[in-house]
Amino acid sequence: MNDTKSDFTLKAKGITKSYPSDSGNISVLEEIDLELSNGDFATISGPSGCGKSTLLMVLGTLQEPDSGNLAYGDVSPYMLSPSDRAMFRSKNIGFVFQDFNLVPYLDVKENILCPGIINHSDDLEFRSKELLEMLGLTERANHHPDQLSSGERQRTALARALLLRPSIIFADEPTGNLDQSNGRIVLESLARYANEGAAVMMATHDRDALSLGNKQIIFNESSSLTVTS
Amino acid sequence: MNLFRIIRREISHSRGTFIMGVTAVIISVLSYIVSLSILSSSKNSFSKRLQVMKTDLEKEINGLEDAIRKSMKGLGFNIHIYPENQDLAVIYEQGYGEQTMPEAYVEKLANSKIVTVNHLLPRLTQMVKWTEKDQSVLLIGVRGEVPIAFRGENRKKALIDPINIGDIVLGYELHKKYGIVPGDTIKFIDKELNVTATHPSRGTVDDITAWMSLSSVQELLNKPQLINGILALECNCESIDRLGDIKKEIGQILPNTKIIEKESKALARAEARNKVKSTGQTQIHNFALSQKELIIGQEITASLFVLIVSALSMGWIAYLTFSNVANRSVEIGILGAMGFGGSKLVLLIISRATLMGIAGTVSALLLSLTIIPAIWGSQVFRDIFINPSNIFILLCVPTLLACSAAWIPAIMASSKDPAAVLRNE
Repeated sequence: MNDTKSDFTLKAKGITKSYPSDSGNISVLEEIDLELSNGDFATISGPSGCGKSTLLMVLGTLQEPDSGNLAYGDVSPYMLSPSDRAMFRSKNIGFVFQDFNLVPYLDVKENILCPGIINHSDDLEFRSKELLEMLGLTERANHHPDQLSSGERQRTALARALLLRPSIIFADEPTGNLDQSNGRIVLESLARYANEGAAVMMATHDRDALSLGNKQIIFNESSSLTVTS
Repeated sequence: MNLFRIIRREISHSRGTFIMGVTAVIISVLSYIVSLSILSSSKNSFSKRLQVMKTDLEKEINGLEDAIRKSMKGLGFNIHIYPENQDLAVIYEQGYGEQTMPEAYVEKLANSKIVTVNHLLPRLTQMVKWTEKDQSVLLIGVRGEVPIAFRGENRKKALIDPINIGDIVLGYELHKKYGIVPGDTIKFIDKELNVTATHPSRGTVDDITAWMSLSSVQELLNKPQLINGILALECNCESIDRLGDIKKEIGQILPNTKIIEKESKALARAEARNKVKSTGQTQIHNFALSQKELIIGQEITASLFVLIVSALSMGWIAYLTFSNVANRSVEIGILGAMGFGGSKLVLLIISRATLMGIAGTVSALLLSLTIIPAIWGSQVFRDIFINPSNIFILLCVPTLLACSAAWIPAIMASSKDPAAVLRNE
């Protein structure tokens, strides 16, 4: 488990990112400055294709920016080797995606325990049971993803992200494929996790979800951000 | 939860493609085992056939040797011992040599432990002019047989009776031409001699030959105590290389001599036997060579066949792994997002191929346990499976090849950008 959660701060400064295309580079992120600390629940909104997912990937250490600095406390993840960065990610960061991205041949419990392969500890079994119970999946523990409803799949993905108690969770449209009831469960779980002292950053189009965050990050048409608290 | 559990679950989930991969390994391993079996069977068959040919030839040669031994015993043959400096061309040209050696040589030989010769006849031979008749005569001085001392009472009965001093024996032309009969007294190069015997026509040089005692001829030719040849008769023929053995034995006793064997039926038969043996051996040698060439050809063909099958199997496993990796791109992306480094992803994919190799090898070996003894017999089975290098190849190479085939897809998967995969999704 990560015991540095209480000291968590994420600082992004001057982040830019563009993608090559036939008509030249398309700038997605331009001089982004951001700061998150423990307890923050940040929501990101903006039109489709504005760069919300890219921002989550960059901040989530999955995609190196063209320029700018990213720091988790004293650590600059993009200064680390790929294997060290992967290890850093496994200890500090959780992801929830719109399409769940569960491993199809593992059952619910095994999917939840997946991050434990990298960071094994003795209480993971207990933690997984706790999460199954918390997210109402106990009865579904031995079912495979194709036997689950969308809501159950997303709750499984959320439980997987929460297993190692990461310092921050990046959620990309986590309620996009869910009905209202399941969406509510996922959002409440994320909000509760932020309240417990972690940080959550969530990209969403859901107006109700936007209201849950204590920080709203809005993408402008010029790929710059407006951050309000 | 551990990596092996993920691998096990994935194999169980996509067992169809896994079984196809295992099948490729089975085919590859079986092609190797079958090729080895065919080659081993050919080699065994060749060895058996060669052994049969060798045994047959040996029997034939033994039969011939036996027959020759028997015929030789009956025939005997003649050995001529000449002084070492005697030019053999002269011997073959005129029938006797002009070089001489001490008469004592024959005593030395007779007093030795010689076993290969039964009768020793020293002689002094020279073509002379019978001055009284103006007739060319081949004069041979003989002293009868010199007994071989160590044999004592067991020595062979003398073949030729000695001729006494003052006596002469005449060949057919010599007595017929001049009307001489046994009992006559003739003058022969100023010597009065009694004709004790006359020979009938033999159609050989014997017809113009006169035989006298050795000492008389030595005196007549002024060659005291000298002879120019020893005739050894009824030489033992027990040995196949009898002339070699006789030469060796006589050479040790009389080192300053040379020994020849003149035309004999026994020699011709021995040569025929040697010819048969040599021809048989050549045939066996040629057969062995042709079989070896055939086996080398089979080995090359089998190697190519195994290489092609293995390459196709590797290609098939690589294709299956590529497909597997492509189908698992999201899973690989999410594992990457969760912190699986490149090496763990490679391990995940390579382990699958390794299990494919192991499962295929084990299955192929189990099949071989039944198939090989049933088709090619237990000898071939033992040849293949009680061979450390084969065991090593069978146990390790298929799995290594399967891993190699999965290596490139695994590296490609591990280097995939998880962000690109997840963003695309």
